[in-house]
Amino acid sequence: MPVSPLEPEQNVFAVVILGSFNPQIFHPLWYADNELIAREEVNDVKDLLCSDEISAFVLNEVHFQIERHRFGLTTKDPSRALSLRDLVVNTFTILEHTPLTAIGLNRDMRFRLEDPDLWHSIGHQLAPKAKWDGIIESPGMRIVAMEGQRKECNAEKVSIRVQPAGGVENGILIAVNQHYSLKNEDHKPIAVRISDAIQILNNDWKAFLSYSQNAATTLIERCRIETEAV
Amino acid sequence: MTATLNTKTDMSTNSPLAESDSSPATQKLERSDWWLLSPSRRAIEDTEPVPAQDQSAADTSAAPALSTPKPVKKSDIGIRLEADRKVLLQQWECVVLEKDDEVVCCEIHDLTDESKPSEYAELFLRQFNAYDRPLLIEGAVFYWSMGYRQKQSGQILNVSEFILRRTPRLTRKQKSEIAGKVAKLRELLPTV
Repeated sequence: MPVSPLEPEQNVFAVVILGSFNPQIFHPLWYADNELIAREEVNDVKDLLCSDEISAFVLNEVHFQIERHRFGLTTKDPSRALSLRDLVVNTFTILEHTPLTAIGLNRDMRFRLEDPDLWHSIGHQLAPKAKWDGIIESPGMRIVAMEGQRKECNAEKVSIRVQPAGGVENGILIAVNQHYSLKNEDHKPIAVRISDAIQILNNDWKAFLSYSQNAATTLIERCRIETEAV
Repeated sequence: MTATLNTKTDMSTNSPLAESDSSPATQKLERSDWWLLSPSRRAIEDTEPVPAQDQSAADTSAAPALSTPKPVKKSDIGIRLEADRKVLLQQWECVVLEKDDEVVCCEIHDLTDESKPSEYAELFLRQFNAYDRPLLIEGAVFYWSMGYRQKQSGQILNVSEFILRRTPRLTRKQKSEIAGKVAKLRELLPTV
């Protein structure tokens, strides 16, 4: 089962929502009480931490982390990407009076590049070194982040971050964030913001998953073409 | 040039992947790098039922005075990429059509290649989680994923799993809203 060179070796999928939350609500028992997980699954919860400031635990390879102003569900299991979306939708279908302010769809991809020249070349192309002459010796790209918009997408902005992947030889990490603001100047009612967030998840999550992988592979492919041309 | 992202800001909706933080390891520690957590009565051990003789301990008024807050480093919590990885080869969204004592019949939609037409499958009921089986009624949706898990040693474990899509129970208000809409639609239909 060979993996194509431009397939990410690992993925992390996350939905992050900003707003005002009471972390203590987000306990595995609350999810079981509301039938969003099976009661039997509560026994499989790992690394549970629940206090006034933060609630964090891992269930079925999904990491829950809820702070007073941030709600985040994350998984590195690609088969859980859609059920993660469902969990967020279901959570806020129940918590319909939670004041949300922004939502972000995230995918981090770790690629292992076979060719070390391509790995170096990506750094040279995204962060040219000439400007650093005489300022630091042997400059190397640590992180590059770009921000912009996507065509035919209602997101306020899309950010793409590229950086070397720790612990992987010739590895790079490409992280894509699609950010939506839910609170605008019109002082949208809370119910509308919740419904907007649910609509974004239902309508955009799948398209975002394809877009993010396309964006990452296109970037690597363009760098590869330029490397081979030199 | 546009402004670059500050990955440490609390107001971004970026992924909380620990590896994404590019701060140098020698950066000084700040108060904001830690949580000082008050002990919670709903911690891990509290998911266990309280023994009958200890019921009074569950009462708020009987809670012991809070001890020293527990410091937790923020960077210690979160998801990390490891050497083990899971690769998804194929995934379907399945809608249950009918179920008998042994088999679940469903319509399956290819999520890996959505241009493919729907197909039909019969799956053994015993392959589902025991606690999910009662929920497999007509119209229930589950994801069927096939792939493999590669361990650091190189060992490959083939995986086929069913993940049921759970939906929250309807509230009385929601039920009455739906009933209202049904009644309105019924009025629009011609009576025979």
